[in-house]
Amino acid sequence: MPITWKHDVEAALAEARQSDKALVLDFTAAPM
Amino acid sequence: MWPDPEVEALVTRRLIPARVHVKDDAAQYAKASESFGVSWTPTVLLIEPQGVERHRIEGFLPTEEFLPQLLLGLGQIGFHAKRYDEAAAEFDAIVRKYPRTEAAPEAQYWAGVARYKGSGDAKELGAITKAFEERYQDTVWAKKASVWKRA
Repeated sequence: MPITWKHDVEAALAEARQSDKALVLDFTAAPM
Repeated sequence: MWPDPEVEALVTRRLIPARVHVKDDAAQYAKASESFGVSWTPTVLLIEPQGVERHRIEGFLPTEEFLPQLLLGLGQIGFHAKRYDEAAAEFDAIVRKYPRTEAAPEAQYWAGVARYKGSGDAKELGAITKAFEERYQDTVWAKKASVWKRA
């Protein structure tokens, strides 16, 4: 299943906190 | 790294995935890179639910190295949450499934440390040193474990 990336870091951090799941945060310059 | 079925399955099942692109998400990238002290791409952070970074992967890695690095991060998150049994199992699985990767000796070290933290038994520290006498002798993790030779 392809990964659905979130691009709002604050919202992702809030979701991680709320769901008690870890966050993976990818800083990239690769062509999308 | 990312477009791989095993990586996708792990991320989808166990992590909240966020990505900031240096150009396409310029404002988010600037803010997050400042917050987390990121100065290079690719950089991948494993962050515990409370927002504390627990593992950092800087630079490209092929999938066979990248996947166990993600698992190292999950192990570290369990370790810092004092879920020592869970962390030891996570680290042991890395050594078992990916024994020839750069992550394996680090995982072997932390598996032993997690067992020690969970039990309080100093024999677990000696067991780490012994494990490094059998494999991964030429790694920095073996050097770190050598301090417990007489434990």
